[in-house]
Amino acid sequence: MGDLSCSRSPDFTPLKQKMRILGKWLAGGLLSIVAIWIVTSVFSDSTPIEEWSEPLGRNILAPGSTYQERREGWATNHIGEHGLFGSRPEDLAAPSKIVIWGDSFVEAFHVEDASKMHRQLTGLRQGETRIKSAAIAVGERFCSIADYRFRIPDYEAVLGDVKLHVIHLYSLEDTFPDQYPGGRISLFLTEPTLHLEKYDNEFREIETPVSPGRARLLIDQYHLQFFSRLRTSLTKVARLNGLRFAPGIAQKSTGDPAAHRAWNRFLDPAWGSAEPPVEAWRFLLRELDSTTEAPILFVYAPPTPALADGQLVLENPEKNLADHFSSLCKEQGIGFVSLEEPFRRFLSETGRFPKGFHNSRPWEGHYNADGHRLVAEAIYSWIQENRHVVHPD
Amino acid sequence: MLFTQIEFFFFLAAVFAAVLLVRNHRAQKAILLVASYYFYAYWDWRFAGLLLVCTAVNYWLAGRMEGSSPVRRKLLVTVALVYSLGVLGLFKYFNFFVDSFRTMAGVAPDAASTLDLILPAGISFYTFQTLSYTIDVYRGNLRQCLRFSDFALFVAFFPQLVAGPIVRASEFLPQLETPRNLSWERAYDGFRQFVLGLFKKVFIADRLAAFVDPGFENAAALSGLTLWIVVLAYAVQIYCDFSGYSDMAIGIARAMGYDFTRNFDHPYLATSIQDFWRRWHISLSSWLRDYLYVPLGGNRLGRFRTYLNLFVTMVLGGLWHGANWTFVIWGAWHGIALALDRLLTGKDTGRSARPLTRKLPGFFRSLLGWALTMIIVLVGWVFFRSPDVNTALSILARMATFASGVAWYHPFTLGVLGGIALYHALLAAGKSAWFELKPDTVRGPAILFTLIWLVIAFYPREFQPFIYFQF
Repeated sequence: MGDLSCSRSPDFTPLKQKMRILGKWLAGGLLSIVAIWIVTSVFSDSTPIEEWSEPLGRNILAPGSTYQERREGWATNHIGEHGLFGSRPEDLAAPSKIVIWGDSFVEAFHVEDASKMHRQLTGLRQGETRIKSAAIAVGERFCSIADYRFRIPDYEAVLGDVKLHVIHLYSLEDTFPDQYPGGRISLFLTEPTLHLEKYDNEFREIETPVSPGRARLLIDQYHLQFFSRLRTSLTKVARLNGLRFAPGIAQKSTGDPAAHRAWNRFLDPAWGSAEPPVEAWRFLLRELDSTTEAPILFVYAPPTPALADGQLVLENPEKNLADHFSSLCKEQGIGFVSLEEPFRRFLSETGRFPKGFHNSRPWEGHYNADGHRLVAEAIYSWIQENRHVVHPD
Repeated sequence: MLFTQIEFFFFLAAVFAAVLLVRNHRAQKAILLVASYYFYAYWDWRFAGLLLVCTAVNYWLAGRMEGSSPVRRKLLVTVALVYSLGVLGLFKYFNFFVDSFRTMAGVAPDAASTLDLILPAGISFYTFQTLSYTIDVYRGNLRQCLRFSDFALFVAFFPQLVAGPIVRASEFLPQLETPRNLSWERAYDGFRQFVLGLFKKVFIADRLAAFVDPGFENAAALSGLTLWIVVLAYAVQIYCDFSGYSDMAIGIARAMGYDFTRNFDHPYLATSIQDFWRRWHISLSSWLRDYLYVPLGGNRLGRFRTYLNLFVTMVLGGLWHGANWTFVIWGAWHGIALALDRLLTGKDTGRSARPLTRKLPGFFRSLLGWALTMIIVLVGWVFFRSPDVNTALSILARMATFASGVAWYHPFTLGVLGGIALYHALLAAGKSAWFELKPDTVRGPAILFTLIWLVIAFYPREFQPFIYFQF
């Protein structure tokens, strides 16, 4: 091989040999590309494909596409009509529906379709021969109650007869006004007066319709996510996005990963002792109630049981808030189910948590298949106890 | 700047380009010196001044030694030691000693206040490097460096500045005297070693951190079996993190024409604790041997003093890693193990106290020695990683009793542990040739490119600094 610079040494490598080595490097490079394609198609998350939905007036996950989750849990999700995770055509064709609303807990891309709460709920109700209703989940990460208020009419229009709207709440943070967690969400505000503000209103950026290109479909079909992400990363690097070259000043590290802090923030006693925003909640519940003819049920998931610094936390820090919210629901004629006891019982009986996975942390994060089952069972029990509300006929 | 940051690759490309374009040797060294100070100032420009002062003080004091009387030389080396260790002590140990004093004396926190200091990156490494120079000049083992810029480059050379390996002046300064040979062979060797180090750090160590960190944080609730996996994973994490950094440093230096000595030699294949310390962080263990153990008397003052010297050296070696009693205990634990190893192998008495193992066939003797060494090392890592002594003791108790608790079987960790075990088994079986990555084969570039793709594809979302940066 040749010499690069300063102190030159004679290079006697014949051209033929150089070409042979170059050929081997090219072959090695190609083999490495095949290897990384195989590895990433099995072990890395895929990239979701979005497309514009005319009836819903927003971008949704492309029906017929798949989404593969590998970071938290292990699942291949099939996207049904209207961008719904794990919804089968026969569920969508059912004469009546129970719609479960929620954020990433309901989106549930961490578990296989058959384990998702709505599919388990449909399974539980299969024995009831008289009632032909299926459960559908409308979950989207970061969404909040304010979004459900605006989306319920849209989905009722496309889904047909809805017998019950179930709103899943992970902690009560979502019910508080003036939260701004960011992302593509609507807002619940107190200024100038209590009101809900739709995401695509005149003040905020209106969603641009997207359609998946041929390249995106090929990426999905052949699991080429690595190459797509590599291109995105290289483009970012080439534009020097987010890079710093100037000398800086060091900061003391907190040593606490952001994702972990996010899960544990609800265990902080200061959060649980917040004053219940009673008037705001009354307003919110009235707004929701006026949105639909169908009954509404809140399914509340507490942040407990959880592990914090090696200690098992069983006492729900926001119990006081949950009790207040529950009584206001009762006052408004809205159902309320707490998962506090089912979760605690499950832990004591099995030693396992309803949230978390072995490839993330088996005590925090999103629901695992057991967690989804517990939610489905809680909804099922409530329906059994309130058949007159869900099926008045 | 971290070796795993995108900015570093721009920086490295610029430095390589400059060194290749500028043919003049002195100009190349000047470029490397400026680049090294920029590399350090990128993290915190204020501490670049501290680095410069430390360099200047040691250079000046060593420069006054040649031709001086023995008394004056002793005085100069004492000043160098007091200054260098004083600065290190202030930044690294001041709060530790004040806190320990408070605890022991039962003094209220406001009676003896600590300082809110940021530990300058790499201070432990460059302090030991500058001291090795000053002590070698004092001993007459090394001539004083005639150019301050050469000495400054030796101290600040960016590949090894913040996390080693601890390069000796006697190894590096002679390399600055002659132009470096930058050949394709060196470039490939450097590239290979850098990629292997990057893979160890980003793909293995950083991803294991996602299991190890919460594992130690929640140790009190985890099952004993899970804790065994956590501790094994930490053993692999710290090895891949630190040896990964060393590999990257050695690789960069090699591609630029400079040679550093090996810092790790498959330490988890060691069949005795002495063997382990010949393979783990070699630049530190040899530094401690030459500048601490030997001056204390080494093995020249009788059996008891030998054991005491080993113990003291390892305790101070433990304290070098950080200002915490856990590091002191880790050092003491290894010191005791080394002393016992000497005693049982009969190195000082000529009589081995291992009659049982002597009768075993070689393979089983090695296996037993390896298993015992691993247990000593793993127990040591529990202290090394735990935030405090009580936590470490509680983890060891839970491991020993296989306590019940939350079970966590992290698939990536189990896969890595299996892979590492297989790799070591093959090495022990003499199959090291399988892992040679030659440039004139298809396998070499195929594996190296695959490792690069894996690093990119599975780059962790959460920032993971090098473990040894904190030391």
